[in-house]
Amino acid sequence: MEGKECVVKVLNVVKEYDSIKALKGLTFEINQGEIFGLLGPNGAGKTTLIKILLGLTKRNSGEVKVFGYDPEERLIEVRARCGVVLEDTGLDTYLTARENLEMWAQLYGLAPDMASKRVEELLRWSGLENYRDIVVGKFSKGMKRKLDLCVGLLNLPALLVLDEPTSGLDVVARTEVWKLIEELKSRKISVLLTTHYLEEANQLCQRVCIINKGKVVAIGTPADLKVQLTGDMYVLRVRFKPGIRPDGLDLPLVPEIGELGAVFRGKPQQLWQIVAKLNVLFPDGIEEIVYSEPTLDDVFMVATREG
Amino acid sequence: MFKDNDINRNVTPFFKSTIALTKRWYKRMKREPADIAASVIQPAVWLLLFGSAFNRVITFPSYSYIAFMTSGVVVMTTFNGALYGGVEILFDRESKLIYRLISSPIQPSSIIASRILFVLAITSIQSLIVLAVASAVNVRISSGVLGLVLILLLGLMLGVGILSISMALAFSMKDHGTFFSLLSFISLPIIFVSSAFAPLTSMPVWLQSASKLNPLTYAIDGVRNLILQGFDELQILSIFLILFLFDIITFSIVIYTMRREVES
Repeated sequence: MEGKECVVKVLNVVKEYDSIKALKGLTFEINQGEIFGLLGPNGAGKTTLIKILLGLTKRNSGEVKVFGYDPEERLIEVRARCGVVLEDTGLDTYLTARENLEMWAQLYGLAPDMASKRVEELLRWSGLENYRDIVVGKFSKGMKRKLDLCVGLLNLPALLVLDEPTSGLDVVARTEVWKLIEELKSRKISVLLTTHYLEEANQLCQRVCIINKGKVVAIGTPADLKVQLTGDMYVLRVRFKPGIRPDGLDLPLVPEIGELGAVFRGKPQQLWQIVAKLNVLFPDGIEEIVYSEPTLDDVFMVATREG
Repeated sequence: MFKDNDINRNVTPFFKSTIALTKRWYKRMKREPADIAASVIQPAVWLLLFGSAFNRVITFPSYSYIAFMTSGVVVMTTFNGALYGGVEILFDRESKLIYRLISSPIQPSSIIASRILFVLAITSIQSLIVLAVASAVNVRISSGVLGLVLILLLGLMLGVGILSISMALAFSMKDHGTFFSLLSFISLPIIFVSSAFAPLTSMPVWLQSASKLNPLTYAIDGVRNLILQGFDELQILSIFLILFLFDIITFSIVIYTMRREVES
């Protein structure tokens, strides 16, 4: 990313709510044209950070610059250059798609002739042109999300903030929204994307920042993070037959046990020892064993556990 | 394709954002024709039904009970419209749309201004309909056209204050269920502790004292005098002053609650 202009700079930012520290010295930068993923469990501080970047709340200490402006001092300059798609839809369900976009175009101060051209352009871009005069209340979640993205892009933002953009969408709708976000890469728009879906971050983001309990625990490209955090770690996913649970067993690694089975993360030798031991303990009890390289999910689990 | 230079990178003028948001309220209303019909017809029906029912029970030497009650219905219409007018803000909070609005380059006060503009335009039209219906049953505004303008202005002054209270509640309440419960709990006492249905002199002393703290009483008395007796400069001026103070206080409260909500 060297040589690229920094559009967002966050340096040692601290935010406290009633003596609870939501952010504990957060530091990172977002470069121009970069899709930057912000990952973290619930309560990690993602929403607080977005509020600070948009000047919706004040930090206690640290430095924040968005396009070189401090959002606390130059609120409008920051907001006029940002597009925002929050987790909950920002649409009026009583208005049609076109009416929603027209309203937002006016709120962003677009001139009337430009507003109507931009509205049509975005409706075409999102594939919603045939639904322009349908009331948004009748839209599916995926269509609402696409329209939300159009609202976020109305003012040709230099930075688009996407807060959980595919939360609650089915796989098909999510893939469609991903395609639209991927297209933004060619438009030199910087994107700050918060998500719970690691697959989403892996697919869309050039760099990922994992935060936990208000602190950055890892930052880098998805591939770098896999190497940094997992080293020579591999992953073993074991699915047992119904009724069998590997709790309390004397194994070289403690598994993470879920509904679908057990996940072991460790060095190859340890994992092969486990396979051998499980085969002895449950000769007919194992349905499937998958041995693989770590995914971003594994990176996230390791990072947030250590954080 | 558009260039960065084509885009506004400053605050959207207050007037523009207020108009854009007012248009939004208007478009929403157009999609609810039953609500429009009810809001137009209900006050007129109130006047005719209540007025006719009590016309022979309560009598005055120089005017009918319908003439007396017209001012009450005009002010009550504004009161009800304004009191429930804040709920859309609460719905916007519940849907989180308000946070996106606040994140855009507008002055947040234009959200409040648009609601005031829209709700008070509706209540003014309702007031005009009530006065037209009253005129059909021989109730004349004795202060003439100037009186009509002042009646509408009094409605606006009262409306700003009541709507500000409603919006302040909308910015403070957790959900619309609590909001509606609270409003239905307070609205009837406020109406009855005023001179809407009966003159102050016919009330017990304690109720008279309480009604003097009620802004509705001042608005009703002002409208009533303009309809029944004519133009009394001093009285109208003092009523405008009281309502202006009421507006200043309540408007400050709604601005405070909005800022608190935004920064929370």
